[in-house]
Amino acid sequence: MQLLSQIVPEGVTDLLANDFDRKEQLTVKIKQLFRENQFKQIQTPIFEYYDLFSEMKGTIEKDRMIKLIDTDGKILVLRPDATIPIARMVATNYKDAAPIQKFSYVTSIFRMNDDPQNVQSREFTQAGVELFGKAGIEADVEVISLAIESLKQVGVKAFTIDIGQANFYKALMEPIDLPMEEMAVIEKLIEKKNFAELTAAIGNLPIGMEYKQALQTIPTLCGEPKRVLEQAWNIAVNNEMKAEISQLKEVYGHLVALGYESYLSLDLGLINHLNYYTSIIFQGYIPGFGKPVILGGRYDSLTKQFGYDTKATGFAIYIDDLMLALHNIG
Amino acid sequence: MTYINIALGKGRLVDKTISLLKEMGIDFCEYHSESRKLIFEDPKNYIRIVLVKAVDVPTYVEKGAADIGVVGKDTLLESGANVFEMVNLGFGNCKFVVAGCEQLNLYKKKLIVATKYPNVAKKYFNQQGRSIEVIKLNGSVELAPLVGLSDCIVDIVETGTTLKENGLKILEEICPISARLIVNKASYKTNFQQVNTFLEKLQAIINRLEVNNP
Repeated sequence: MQLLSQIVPEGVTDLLANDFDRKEQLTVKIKQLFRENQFKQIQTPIFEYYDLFSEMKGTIEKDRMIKLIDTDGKILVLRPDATIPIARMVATNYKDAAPIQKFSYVTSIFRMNDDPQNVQSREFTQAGVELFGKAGIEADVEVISLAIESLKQVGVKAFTIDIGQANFYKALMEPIDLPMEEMAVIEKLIEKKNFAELTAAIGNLPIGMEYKQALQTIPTLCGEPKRVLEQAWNIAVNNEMKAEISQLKEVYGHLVALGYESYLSLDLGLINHLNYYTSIIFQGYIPGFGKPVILGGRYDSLTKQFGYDTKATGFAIYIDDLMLALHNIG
Repeated sequence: MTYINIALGKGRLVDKTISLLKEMGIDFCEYHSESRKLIFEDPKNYIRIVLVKAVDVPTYVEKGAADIGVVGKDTLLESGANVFEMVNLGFGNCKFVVAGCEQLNLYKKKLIVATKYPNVAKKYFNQQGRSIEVIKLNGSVELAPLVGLSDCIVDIVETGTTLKENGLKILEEICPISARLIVNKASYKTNFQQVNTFLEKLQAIINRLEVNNP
């Protein structure tokens, strides 16, 4: 008989003294950097109503939230995402405060196993920042620079910050009226850079040639930034797409001027599964580690859903993955 | 330059992949199909292949233990791995089908489906609003309906000979299958030049082969 009293459930783990110490040292460095950049640390509840996440457009999959039943029968979930509760907190508590608010957090996130081979797949730590009330390039550059500095701060020498533009694809698809399922199929094929099947799927769509051309080109828009920006400009079918590209170009230019060129790459085929992102999005990769250790971007319409219209951008560092990647580098 | 690690699933796709790589000028002189070695290197081109069990290829690539993998679309669909699926290699062609005895009515009741691919089977039936019970088997799936273990099977079929010899018929076709080249997302981003050059060379060879044998 298996003694459940002696084992821990799948996807969670004990942190022994050594590992805890390593994790603490890493987090302290990151927290200090956040503080030096005037981000104030906050905390949201460990569980909240299911409705907060389920009624929100484009949040995490319902199956992946860990649910509890409250005494009155309402459904609660363990915090499945850091950004949405913070957006709620800002909308309800900072409506009448100064428009620019800078917050940071270090917190546990809970999700159902998406990856049975990852030891910390159901409870993991994220550290991140959210910058509210600041639109435009300046804020995007500030947040991406901080993401780069965070990785440098903890001793990662080689890494890639891959920058995309969520709105470029959205602006392309906006005039196209397709059933949800077909859209989802196309998005998946673009995200997987599955050129062969994408060509086949687009072939049958009732859309104009320039749209087909653009859809087929989007997944190839990655790598050398100059070429990517130029090609993206060429396939833009409307002014909104052109505006997004100009903006991306400017952000990229500023980051290069700050001396970050060697860390940067562009990918316009980056369509994040959390589709509350509205504009510049980015992911941080470390060579030899299979998953992104940083996810971030602009999410200008999220607080509006809580009745407070403000601009916002931020990122989260997957602390446990970062530790693993650092360990692999040695 | 660093080595690009390519995971190959032992079995039907290895020899075809090796000869495709040879066309690209990548040669593993030590390799022959009887060899028991699991790692082969081409130091001139900085390419290393590792031979793993076919169903493990998506795991190796998703985790970054290999940068690139060659795997059948069937295995890839079943694993649901989060990787770039960049090239259709055009060999290993077959299809996913639902097969059973000729007189079976697939719409009568809750079906019991035997398969090596439980995720693919569930997804196919559930998408159409049909519920099924899955029995996961690891081989000789055709046997299941014959001995009353299941109503039908979901499996890959190349020529249909095995089905025919066991008195089964294709009842529904799910989707076509072929070998795919998959790429780890981080490798593609952090080692773009090297990986992309490899992919472009490979695609050029495949296009050339397609023109020659359409």
